[in-house]
Amino acid sequence: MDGLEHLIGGFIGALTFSNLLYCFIGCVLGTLIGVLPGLGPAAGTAILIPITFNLDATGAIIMLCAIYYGAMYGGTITSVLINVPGEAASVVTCIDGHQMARQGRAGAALAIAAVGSFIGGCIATIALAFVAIPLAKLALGFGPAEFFALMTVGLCLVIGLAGKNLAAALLMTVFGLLLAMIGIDPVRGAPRFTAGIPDLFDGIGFVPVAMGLFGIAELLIAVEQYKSQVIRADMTNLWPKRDEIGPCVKAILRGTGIGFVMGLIPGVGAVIPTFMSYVTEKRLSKHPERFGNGAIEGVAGPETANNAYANASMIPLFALGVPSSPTIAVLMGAFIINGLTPGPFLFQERPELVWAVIASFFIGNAMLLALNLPLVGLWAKMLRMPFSYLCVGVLIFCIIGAYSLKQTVFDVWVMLGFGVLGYVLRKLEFPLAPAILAMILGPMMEKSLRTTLEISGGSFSIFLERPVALCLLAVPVIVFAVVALRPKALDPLREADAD
Amino acid sequence: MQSGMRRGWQLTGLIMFAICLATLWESRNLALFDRLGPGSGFFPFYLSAIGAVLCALILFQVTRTPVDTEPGETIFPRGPVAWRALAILGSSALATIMMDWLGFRLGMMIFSLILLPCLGERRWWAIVLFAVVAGFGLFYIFNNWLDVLLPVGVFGI
Repeated sequence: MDGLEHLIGGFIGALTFSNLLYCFIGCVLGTLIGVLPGLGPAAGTAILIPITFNLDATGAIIMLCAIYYGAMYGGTITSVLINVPGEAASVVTCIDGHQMARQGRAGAALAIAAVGSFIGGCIATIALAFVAIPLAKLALGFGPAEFFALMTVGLCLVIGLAGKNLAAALLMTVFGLLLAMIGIDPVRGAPRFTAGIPDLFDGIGFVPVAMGLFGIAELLIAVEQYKSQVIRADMTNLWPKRDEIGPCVKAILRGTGIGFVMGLIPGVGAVIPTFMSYVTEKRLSKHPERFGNGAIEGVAGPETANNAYANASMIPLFALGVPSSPTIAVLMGAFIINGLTPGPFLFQERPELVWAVIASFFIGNAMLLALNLPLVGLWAKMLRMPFSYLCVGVLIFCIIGAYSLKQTVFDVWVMLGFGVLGYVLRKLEFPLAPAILAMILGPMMEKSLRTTLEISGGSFSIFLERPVALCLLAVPVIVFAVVALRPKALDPLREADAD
Repeated sequence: MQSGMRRGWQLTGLIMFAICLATLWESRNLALFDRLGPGSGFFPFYLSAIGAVLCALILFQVTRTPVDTEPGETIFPRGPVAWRALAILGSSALATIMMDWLGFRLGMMIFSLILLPCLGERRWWAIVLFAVVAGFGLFYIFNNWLDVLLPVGVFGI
């Protein structure tokens, strides 16, 4: 009952006028990001960090989290209406959602997606409230060796699932870790790799790098792909047929389970649970031939899985301080900017913040449901915005975001540089997720490793003497062994992610 | 693998290899171990060494991979799309310079006035309206409502 009591306390914090307003603004902005092709949740969250600078930490985190799950929902609208996923996790919704729209059932597709997302998000958040405390309590007993092992596990799972070339994923990780080494050494205070440039003494900012790698690079890719769309959709009938309700309920419940479990595993990404849910529904259906031709379960299951994943992926961040995807890494960066370190100690040091944020997930999901069904026509109109204005607007927000962090133009140059780099690397199909996760985890990993080795007098055998650390470190060994010895074993997951 | 893709991987591998060698060299100037334990150079030294090995492995892998004989799509865009991408990057760089010198308001106004026509917008009144809102409107919102300080230039604007 511990979780329930805390959650009720969290609602008291989240239901203040200001926090409700921040949650509402976050949901609106998030949906907008999801709707607009060319802007993913990671880029959108990074770009909008500066608007939270003047907010208190609770309000800022509530708003940024709302942007994240709002974007996950917003992507559905474009998938259904114009067959273009607003963000990667909505790819699978295009298959049956757009077919439904072509049959004049866009309203029903969007309604079931909204209801499924709401149910999936709420159940995952209830589970978050109950799982996070025991997990955080367990993590409180961890020493630096266990924390190093834990972060290594998180990073290695991301690497293992990042792409077909393990060496490239590992190289991107090393690159991210090396970027994190620039600046003053956090343990000894010696400057490293600064080349005498004063702006580098504080290190390379995570936010400008994330904005460049995701925001600017995505915009440059969108320039190649963007086409203005004509939208004609029937929004009059929002509800499914009577005989569809039973299969939809089952699809939503299965989608919740799949999304929740996948959200707990770092590196899985939002695309995989949606594909898994789709495949499960198709396999379990008495009429699998309907899939691809407008089967409503093909929308209900994946959309539920998508939102359940988004909420469940907060568990590793809140309880262990390990981000499981680039967007969660950006959220972790926002925590750090606000002077907070996600992880088990946050539950002890700032419980009112943690529980208010968790409670806000319920409120945000309810807001999204209330916002999106009646306003879906308005969101569809947003798609008519000319790309030129969207592009210039996003670039100006990126410039403000990069500049305002330290009030220096140097960070804007960093963002532009990493934008070009991100564009080139994406074109060459190098995975970027390991680099951004490594960059945010780098300083903590280094500190944990060095503290561990200081305790052991420089001997690595300390990892063999600590059973938790040893078990955790066995996970990456197994993952890499599977990848190296049976390279096709993880292909279904990677292909889902690549699609 | 397409030949363009292979060249891209080889070039990336070589650049990363050079970066890893440079950080490896620089790490040697930092203490690997001191009396308290691992020093400032410990983590980057081993990371750079691992990175250099990975680069060598990638270069080896890529060089051995057969190249597709059939011509495929080019990796990077050409023609008008490439010009649009370059316009975005060039005007963003110009905006960064101007923002430092002329301030946010004038910098972003000029940025919008340059980039919008490059991206195909032809309605001059819409371009001017957008530029004014982007420069002065956003400055007002961020400075006054969100307390985010944006740069003021040589003319005090």
